[in-house]
Amino acid sequence: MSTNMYNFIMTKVASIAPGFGLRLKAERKRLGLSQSEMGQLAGLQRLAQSQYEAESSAPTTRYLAQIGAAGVDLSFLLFGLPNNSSVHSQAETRRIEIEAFKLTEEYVTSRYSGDLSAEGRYVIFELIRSQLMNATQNVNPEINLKNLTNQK
Amino acid sequence: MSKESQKEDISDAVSAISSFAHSHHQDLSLEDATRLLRQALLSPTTTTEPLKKTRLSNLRWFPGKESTRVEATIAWLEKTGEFSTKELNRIRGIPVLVESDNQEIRLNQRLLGRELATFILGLINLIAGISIGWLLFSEGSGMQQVLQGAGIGMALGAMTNLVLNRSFRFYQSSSRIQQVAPWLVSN
Repeated sequence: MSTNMYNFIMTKVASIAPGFGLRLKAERKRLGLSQSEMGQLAGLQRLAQSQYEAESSAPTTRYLAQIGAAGVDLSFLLFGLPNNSSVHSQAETRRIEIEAFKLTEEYVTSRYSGDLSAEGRYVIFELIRSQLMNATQNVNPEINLKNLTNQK
Repeated sequence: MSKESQKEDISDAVSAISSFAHSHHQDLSLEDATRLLRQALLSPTTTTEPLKKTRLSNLRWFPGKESTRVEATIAWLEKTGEFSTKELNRIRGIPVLVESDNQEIRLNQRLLGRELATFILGLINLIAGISIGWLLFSEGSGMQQVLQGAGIGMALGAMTNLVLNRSFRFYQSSSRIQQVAPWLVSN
């Protein structure tokens, strides 16, 4: 085969924040997985996983959903911002998740007329949830509790 | 982009949430955070984050023996070492990969469903059986029967090959590509 060819093949249009590959590798190591093991989680071979880490191809929605379900922090992976869910109480977390779910459904209805795969919905939900978690951290718990009481 | 891939494309959402994330909102009430995030997601004036977008047209190209983008893609698949020569020939011959109007490499969309393919193959088998019976019991000369049999056999064989290429062989090849290069298959 000739060595002259595309240096890099990619046909899918996708968004990749700079440093995606390094963060993906960091998340894989945090979970204690090899490239093969992480690839298997998403039904891929090691080569595809290594290409994602090398940023020579963009991740698919299905891939993001499956590694997200396996414990990868999608907010950190895509935006480089960690998810600070631990600072919220269980009640606050529940309330944030309900808002995230509503907003996800609103977005999917508006943008896709409700026709988006479960994987797509899951990734959007996870990202919205983590952003609401981050944006509401350090809020006086009493205020949140007051809001919660008022809603009831 | 095909209708199917548009349904799976969440890059607009990722871009909108990214712009919200990098605004470093903190100490907000949940109501305010939700309102701002809703604005970022649903505002018609939302501009996409300057995230890296890669298209085939932006890729570096070195002239080689691969005359088309499809051939270059198949050559790349060959280089991965994950495909046998037989599989590559099948990908090339079906063809599994095609170039879309906007110069993207996509899976061939002209396919037969499994049920329809099974039905057509059954029909071909039925016609083959009837043809064999007709040839055996016809009153033609020996050579005439041989020629008729060859003609019918070639026609039915070509039809069977076409149906298999557009159905079961395609699904098998695309599944292998999905494992090695999922970005060619989905989204």
